[in-house]
Amino acid sequence: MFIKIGDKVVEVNRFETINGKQVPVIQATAREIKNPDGTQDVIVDVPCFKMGGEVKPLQQ
Amino acid sequence: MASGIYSRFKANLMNKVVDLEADIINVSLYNATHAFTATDTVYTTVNELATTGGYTQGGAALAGKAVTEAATTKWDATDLAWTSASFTATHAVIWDDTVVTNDLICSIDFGGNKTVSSGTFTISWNAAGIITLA
Repeated sequence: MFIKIGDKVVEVNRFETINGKQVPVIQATAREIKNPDGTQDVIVDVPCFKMGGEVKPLQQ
Repeated sequence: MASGIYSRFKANLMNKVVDLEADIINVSLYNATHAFTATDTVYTTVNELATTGGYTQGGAALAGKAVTEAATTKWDATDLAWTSASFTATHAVIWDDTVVTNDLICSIDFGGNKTVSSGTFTISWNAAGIITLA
């Protein structure tokens, strides 16, 4: 399946469970572009790595 | 196959070891045998592309590195390109060349072999940045 992250659409083939939540395993989306002169270019669109956490108040 | 941030990078942030603006940050390309393992710590040439076809082992240094402070702080850089290139790559690894031990930052999975032939191999970073911290 494909999901949108930021301005990029990325392919997700599997999910992992982290802290009880299903998190998509992200990979970049790469295109191979064949040019008329026989050469071939590659453009890799890299999704943003997001580091962060949820701050919760301490339980009394 | 997966992409991810190495645990060593998270520790280096907290221990004031890495400076994402001032350090030399390299991007190296790897073959399909490379696999992201979060506990890997330092750059290696194992499974890295050989020095041929427009690629040089050790990779290319990021230019235009910038940290933008905000509620969601981001680290970004200029897109990277290898020109007149002929090789096949499956992963990219970002690592710190200034830290003596060449510590790892993150690994990017291209989703399979990507072959450039006498052309340009471009890595386009996301508009949101390479890494954000919220």
